[in-house]
Amino acid sequence: MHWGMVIDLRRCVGCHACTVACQIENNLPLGETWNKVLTVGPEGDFPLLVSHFFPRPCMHCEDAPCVDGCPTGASQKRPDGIIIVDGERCIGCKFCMLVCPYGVRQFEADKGIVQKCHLCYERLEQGEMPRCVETCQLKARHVGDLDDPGSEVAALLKQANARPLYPHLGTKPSVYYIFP
Amino acid sequence: MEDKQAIWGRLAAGYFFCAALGAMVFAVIAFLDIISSPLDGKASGTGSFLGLAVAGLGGLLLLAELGNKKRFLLVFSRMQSIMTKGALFLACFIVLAAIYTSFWFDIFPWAGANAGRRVIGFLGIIFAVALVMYPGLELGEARGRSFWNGSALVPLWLTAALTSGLAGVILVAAVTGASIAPAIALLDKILLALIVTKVILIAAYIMGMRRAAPEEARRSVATLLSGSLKNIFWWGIVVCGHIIPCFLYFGGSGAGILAIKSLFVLAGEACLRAAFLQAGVRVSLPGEDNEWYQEEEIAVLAARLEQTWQERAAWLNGK
Ligand code: SF4
Ligand code: SF4
Repeated sequence: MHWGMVIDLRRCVGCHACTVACQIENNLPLGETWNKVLTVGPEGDFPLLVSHFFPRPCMHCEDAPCVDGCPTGASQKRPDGIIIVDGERCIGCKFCMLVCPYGVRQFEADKGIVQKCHLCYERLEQGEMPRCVETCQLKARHVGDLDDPGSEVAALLKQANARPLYPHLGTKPSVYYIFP
Repeated sequence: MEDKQAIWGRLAAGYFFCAALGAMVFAVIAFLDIISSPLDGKASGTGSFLGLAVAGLGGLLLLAELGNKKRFLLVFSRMQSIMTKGALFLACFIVLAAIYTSFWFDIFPWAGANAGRRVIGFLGIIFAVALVMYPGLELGEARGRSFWNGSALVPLWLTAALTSGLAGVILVAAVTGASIAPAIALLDKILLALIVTKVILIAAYIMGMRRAAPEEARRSVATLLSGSLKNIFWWGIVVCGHIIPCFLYFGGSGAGILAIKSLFVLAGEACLRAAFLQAGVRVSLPGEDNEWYQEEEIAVLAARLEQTWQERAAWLNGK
């Protein structure tokens, strides 16, 4: 079992509903986002300008530098591939923030710990979808078992030539993008 | 996109500087002791105490950097992590440096036991070198910040640490009146050689990053040379840390000149740590160049929302 996500950038319209849904699900303050949607562009020469949106959750890297570097074991990889932070063990050293190449980790100053997207693993365990996937009305997000060749995500990976972000960094992300 | 690395700030830079200075001051004094070329006892005792105190201060800065200080002992719980290794090196070094320093003070019954002191000094040197080397490897683990290249940072930071250690010992000797010792004249010459070596290493590092490395490393170099870190780089590292100390070699070797030269070298070394730490910007994600603008926008909107709430609350309470 290896949970992964495919995000179809051709479908994302940058409504930020997933960002807000994630904030509500995890009770985050206004300024803290575990699931940002970035705006790429506009690029090109007028009038041929193009723009698209780029949602950025934690990539749940198979070879996660945040887990390797964590001195307390607070950053952990679950057997199903999801990377989580145990808030009870985190000392707030921020080394994981420094080594994460995707900038997805957030320091929670009031608690003195670091947190991030956990792919709603509790919802997954109950057979529900992560809140961002459930919320996306354009069906840009898909979650499933990357090890199961019959899963929707495995089919999308093959059909649409999805690829992870910055594979050259060697982190082996579990989040794949279908680029426009 | 990041224009400066802001996750580890002044406290971390202060820790790297203090740990390197403390460790290398200690290492120089213990080394002179082992090869039986001691400074006078006063300078050695004061110097090793200074090394211990500065490294201890570094440890406190590291503690202050933690978000959750009460749990700091958990930092020793995962030996595979380079941070755990670093914390262990610091802890072992502080214990050994404390024992070593005690040998120089008559209030302890074992003071003056040369053989025991040298054995502890030797062990202390091993941990001091480890303490100075690990930060380069630690920063090198950040794969998306290619300006921090572990294998190139280690020799640079080791040379820089040794430079600051020598400057620290020369400063102590100048202040305690031991600057006429022959060992200090030799250390002063080695210091000059190290300053020149450091210039070469810094230039090679920056040129290497500028030519071969990925986009974010070139951005780091631009930040250092002509961007937001240009003052700390040119005035702090180049002028204070290298050019002025070199000129001061023409001023003779009086205690005053030695002390001033050492202070400039130390200031340059502190700037080097701070600048290189801040320059390690992360690889930018698609669309991140727009993000800072958006964050500013969100902050303005949040402030406006808050103000509206306050006005509404005041209106309601007024009624
Ligand atoms: S994206 Fe960052 S936080 Fe998430 S697993 Fe990878 S390195 Fe860790
Ligand atoms: S901040 Fe917390 S999760 Fe991150 S490396 Fe430090 S202890 Fe681990």
